[in-house]
Amino acid sequence: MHSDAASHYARLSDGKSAAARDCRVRLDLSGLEIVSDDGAVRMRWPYESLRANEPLRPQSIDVLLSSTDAPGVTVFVPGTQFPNALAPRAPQLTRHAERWRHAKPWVIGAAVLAGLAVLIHTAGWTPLRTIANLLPQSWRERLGDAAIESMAENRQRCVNPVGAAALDQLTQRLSSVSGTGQDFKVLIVDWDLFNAFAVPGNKIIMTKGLIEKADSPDEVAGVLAHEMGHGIALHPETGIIRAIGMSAAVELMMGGSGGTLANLGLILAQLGYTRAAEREADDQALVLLRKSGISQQGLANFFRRVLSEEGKYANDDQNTNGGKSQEKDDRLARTLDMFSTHPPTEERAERIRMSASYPSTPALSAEDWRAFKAICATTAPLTPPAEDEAKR
Amino acid sequence: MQDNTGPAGLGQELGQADRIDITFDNRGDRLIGLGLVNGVLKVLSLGFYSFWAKTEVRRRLWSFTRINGEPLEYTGTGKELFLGFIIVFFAFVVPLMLGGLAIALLFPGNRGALAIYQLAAYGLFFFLLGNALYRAQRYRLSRTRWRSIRGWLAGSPARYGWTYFWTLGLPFLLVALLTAFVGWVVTPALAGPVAILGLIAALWVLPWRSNMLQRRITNDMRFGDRPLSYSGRSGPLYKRYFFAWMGSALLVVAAGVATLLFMNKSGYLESVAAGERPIPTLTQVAAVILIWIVTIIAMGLVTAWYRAMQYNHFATHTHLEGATFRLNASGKSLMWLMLSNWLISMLGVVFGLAVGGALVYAAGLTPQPSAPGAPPSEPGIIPVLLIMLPIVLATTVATTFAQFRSARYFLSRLKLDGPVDLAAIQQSASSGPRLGEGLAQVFDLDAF
Repeated sequence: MHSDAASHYARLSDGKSAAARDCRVRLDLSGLEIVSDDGAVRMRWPYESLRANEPLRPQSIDVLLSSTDAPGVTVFVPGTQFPNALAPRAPQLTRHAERWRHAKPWVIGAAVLAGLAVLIHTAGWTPLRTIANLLPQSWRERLGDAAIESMAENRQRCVNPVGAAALDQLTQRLSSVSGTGQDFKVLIVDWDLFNAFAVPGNKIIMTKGLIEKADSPDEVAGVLAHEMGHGIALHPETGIIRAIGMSAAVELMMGGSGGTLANLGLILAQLGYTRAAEREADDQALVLLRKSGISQQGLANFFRRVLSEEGKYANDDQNTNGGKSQEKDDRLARTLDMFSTHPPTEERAERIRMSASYPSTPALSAEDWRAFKAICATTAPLTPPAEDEAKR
Repeated sequence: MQDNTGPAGLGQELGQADRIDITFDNRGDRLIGLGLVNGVLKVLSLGFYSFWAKTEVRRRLWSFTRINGEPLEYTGTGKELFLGFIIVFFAFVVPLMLGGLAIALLFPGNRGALAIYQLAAYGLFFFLLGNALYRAQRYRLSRTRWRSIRGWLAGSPARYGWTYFWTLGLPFLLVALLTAFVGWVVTPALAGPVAILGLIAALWVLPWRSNMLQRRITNDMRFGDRPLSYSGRSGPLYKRYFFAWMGSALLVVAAGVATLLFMNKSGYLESVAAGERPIPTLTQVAAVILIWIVTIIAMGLVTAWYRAMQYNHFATHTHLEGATFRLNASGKSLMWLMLSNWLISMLGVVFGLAVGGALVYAAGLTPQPSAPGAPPSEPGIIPVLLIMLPIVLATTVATTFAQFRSARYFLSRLKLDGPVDLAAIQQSASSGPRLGEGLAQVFDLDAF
């Protein structure tokens, strides 16, 4: 780079007072030479020590420079010529260089993050589930209670003693073979909705609507086994941790105020499982059913019925709940109903139907099945968890 | 080649009292390109670039501002803003989030406990708000230089924060006490009207309050070693405030009546009266939101005359040495600024949404319609990204341009009358806070 003989008019501020003195600046071989008109100030700022108030660009109309060599001192050079002459000598001050310097760490960080995500995904490692595994049992149960409260709100639970005995018997038969040594608690809710949910802490909610529609004890056993599959795989816990992580990330990125997380109920109500999770629960259900000697065809039948009713239901604008149910119930039912939230694919139903058969006995005797169907003849409020435990 | 002639306005000014001339360069076109690049980088960096983006915009806006032909310099960095934010995020936001989680776990399903917790959290936010505003202003001033001389706020953020809190908190507390007294001792039926009238009456403190806060912060301001001073009183503000206050009250009442009428007509109120808890339909929600958006805009317009006068009042009573500021804001022009900036922002969102929607549609990724609240069975990340990307880009450009227009509005209307002996102004002793605006960023307060 040749030396530029031209000297440019500039204003020098010394960092001590708000006075400014006139000076001349010249682009030297390796730096900027500054000489004040009164001769009192004479400085050389190396090009690499320079900092500009705005990045240099072809359209720059002037530039305000400072140097790490002379903290506090600034030189203002008006006119379009100087910035254009300076740009090739101090390329770090140009628009592109500055921008890339600031953005580089983040772009690289984002790329690394994306790479890690791909790696984790392909390696089949599920970090969220690892965290879920670390949650103490008492936390899980509390999360589950919170989920039940926020989902079932003011509804009653079905507690007819004979039916409850039948339910316990079925639950025992399935959970005793789970191999996890953990008990499952099944709560029947007096709710016309047609669905079953697994919530944290090995708890399962099943609705009256589902029991009424079920044709055989094997179907109920199949659904129970499927939800237990979710529970054993810690899907509910994982879902909550994912939701918490997501909202924390959103807060971090948006600079939020922490309000999102306070609404745990909302998070719980929005849990949805991926297809992979559903398949995992199906596989687990098949294992439980085989080990406890209950035919897997119940679950297959159930899915097939959901499939066939799905289309009918979608077009059905009539109130299917009957009775006194209000518009609200109807709408809630629509949004939470299994037909809309768990549409099983043909492939899933087919996979269960085609799995190897084994000797099996009915999930419940005819007598127990009748008792179970009538479990909602007696209802009680959804009691606080502490009393609940005491009664068992 | 010799370039000997200094441009006009850069004369010999050493050692005597100088006239001060404030101008603002109309170079907004530069910010459109900057907004686009900032938008792209924000997306690529998952939002984290926003601190650097903000800094870049400030550097331009400061540089556009000229005093006697020489630019203001913004010396803050994105890193300072980022670290300030991170510290506050982990010191305040994360504990608050974990607290909310703990409450939800300790009292499962207990909405009362959560509501109390949230109320307390909002109370804490309000308590810290003034403090945060002061700190943000202090940071910006300390990173502002003209002719190498820094600005500074010499007072205590806690003191300002406390004034900020009690001047509004006390009137509201009095109204609450009065309401409780009337409700319990006199008759519960009167509690509602007393609360509403009390709140409207309490708003009467606002001109007094903003004048007081302005005095606090202006008297703390330094340019180098020289203090600015404030001599304004709130009395002259009240005549125009009366109209703004009346107009806003009438608008709120009108919007309330409109909401009730609409809800009545659409049958919502009937089912409430019948003791049900109906879920409002999408149309009802949309209509009510629309009513209130229009009301808020109308309130902004109605109060523009007052706010223009208030800004002018603040400027006219702000002094530096022997000189006095003067602002020439007017209700009409301020109203137009607000409305046009709002339209620009809306246009940005709508444009981004349209482009994003078109992209999703073109890619054949239109999501299945699902009922509100239904758990998404297979949340797709690609369509979300396709929609978010153009929205972030368009809104970044729009907000950057709107910021430029606001800055131009005020700075091109601001004058400093009277001579200032610039040579006598020395550098301030303080070098400013080490880190950025923290708290204020969490509250998303800083306009520039």
